[in-house]
Amino acid sequence: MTAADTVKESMSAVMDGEANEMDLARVLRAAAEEPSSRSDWLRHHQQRAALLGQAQVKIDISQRVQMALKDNAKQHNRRHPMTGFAVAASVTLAVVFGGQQLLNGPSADVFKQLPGGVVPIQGAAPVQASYGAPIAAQPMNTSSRSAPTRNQVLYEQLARERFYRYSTEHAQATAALQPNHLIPYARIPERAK
Amino acid sequence: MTARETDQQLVKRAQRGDTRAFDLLVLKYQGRIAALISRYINNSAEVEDVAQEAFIKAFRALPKFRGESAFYTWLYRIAANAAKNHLVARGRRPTSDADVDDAEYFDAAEGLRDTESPEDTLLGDELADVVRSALEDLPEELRMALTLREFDGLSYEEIAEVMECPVGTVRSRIFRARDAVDIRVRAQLRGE
Amino acid sequence: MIALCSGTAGASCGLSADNEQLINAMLQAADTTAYSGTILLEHNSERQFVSVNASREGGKGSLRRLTSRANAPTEHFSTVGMRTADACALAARYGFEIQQGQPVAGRSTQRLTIKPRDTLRFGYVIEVDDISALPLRVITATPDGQVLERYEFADITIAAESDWPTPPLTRVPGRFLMASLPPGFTVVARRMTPVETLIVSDGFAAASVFIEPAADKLPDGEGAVLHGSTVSYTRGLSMLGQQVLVTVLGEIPLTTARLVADAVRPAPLPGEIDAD
Repeated sequence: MTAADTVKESMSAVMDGEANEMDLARVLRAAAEEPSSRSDWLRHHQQRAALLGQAQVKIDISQRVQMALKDNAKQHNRRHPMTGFAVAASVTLAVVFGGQQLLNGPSADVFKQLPGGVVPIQGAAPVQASYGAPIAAQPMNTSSRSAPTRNQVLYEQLARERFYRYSTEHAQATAALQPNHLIPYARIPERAK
Repeated sequence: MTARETDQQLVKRAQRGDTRAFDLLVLKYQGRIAALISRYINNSAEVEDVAQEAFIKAFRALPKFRGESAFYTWLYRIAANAAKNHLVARGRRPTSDADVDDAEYFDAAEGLRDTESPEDTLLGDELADVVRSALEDLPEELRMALTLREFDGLSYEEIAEVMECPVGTVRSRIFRARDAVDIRVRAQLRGE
Repeated sequence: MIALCSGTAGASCGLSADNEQLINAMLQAADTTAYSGTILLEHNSERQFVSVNASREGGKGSLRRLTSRANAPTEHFSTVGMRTADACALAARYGFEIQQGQPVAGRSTQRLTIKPRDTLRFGYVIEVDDISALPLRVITATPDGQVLERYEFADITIAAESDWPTPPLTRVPGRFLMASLPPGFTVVARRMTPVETLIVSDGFAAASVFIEPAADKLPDGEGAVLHGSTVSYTRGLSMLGQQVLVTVLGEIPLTTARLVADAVRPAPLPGEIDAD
């Protein structure tokens, strides 16, 4: 049995409430680290609900919920003099699409032995915390609201749409600056072409 | 085996603050909770907002959840209340706010029409048909194990007795049955 | 080419002569090396193989996505490079470490670990080819080591060195400029199509800033999406008496993208050059 099958078997046991602690730990770890495991879990429950005739809507707010739980108490606003609207110092409104996966390879100790410590600047710390964790739409200016406003949904869609629209231009504009000129082009998503 | 027991392990972890366990509960129940909220609220974006709010309320209230009822029953009540409260709050909004027409609002952003709208497709009969037909085509020993589990609600131990095989085999058969169904469903839904 | 760092001696920026030489060679290798091969690029849940041929002719290279649909078209890219900082300039923003690297595509390498000195940029682990100094494997990670993207050559054939021309930096007048960019970042180029675009870089990381008019009804706001190491951050605001949409698209942290958007200002006079 492959490692992936071991996770899937443990997941199946967790679904049935028949899992031991090791199964549960394995599934929780996989779900946190592998987007495909979260998708497996989601689909298996959709299929179960369909099989049992339970009404369900196709929706995925799980990342939004996770992010809201994490950042709820951490909203610090600052007001930008020019734009006139408050810009939260913590990371807001970022959405990972296409699933986020932390690739294999060097992890936390990658940079450990280097000289000089990392100095957080202007609220950058929440960025560190956000990358590598599921990120979802977040309230921008308030700490009490958990649901994103329509303005936030609108801008998230705009950012996504611009990502597709301008990927090619971005590659052309920055390829010369990269150590490997090809990579910006390779990054262009299929949909943008 | 009851629904109550299947969630117990995750709920316990979530009560200790393990957001990963709560994440799995959200993934598991979000579709059904959204279906419930859709009965109160028409707008899909609002359904998502209220569903999110309900899960966050549930997480905060978890320490008070004693397990007298199944987790889903408890969550269902929270979501139904959130939907009702949302309607009440909406009714009290100043008309100027309520009058903002969604289509006009979104059209103000040029280019938006090319983007996908939030998915609000009802996962209905189509998925059920595909899953059922995938189940029927499974080899007998896999189909029986999964059927006894899903439709008859038997525990692995009870299924082991019925099928006269070790519990480990039951566990493995149910996993393989689910995996086979999943592969078939994905292939079929992709192929359309 | 703009030489932002005038220091030529390694001692002035704390780099050993060997390290400085390797970093500078790596930064320029793609400009002067002809090669062909296959690259594996992984980001998000995507993984794709790209067949690449960077020839000498006309400063052009071609690529083809092997994991895409059958008969994917050949795409072209420019192999002409533009360096806006050298090793010494980069040392102000990044820490460097060099050690023996893992072989990549059968070639021996040195591992260059580039650690950001603040949280406004990502870090990189680069396996640099011993002979050509081409980056053969590059891992992009957050400052705390979370991997966002990786690419590496699955196979590569390196030809002799060539000498491609360096393009002049275009400085066309625009309607916008950048005031107080995040530390280390400068405007390195400007494009006027399809919309006014300012390109900013710290010498290693780069982002494009697209500025376009938006409908008057568009409310102020901001939003972002992340894809691998790429962030797309869009902000709507009022400038020059009209609604403007600023999009920062680049391989930089979200906070940095936001600070870059903060820096966008209308140019006081037509033809004014960037004030950074």
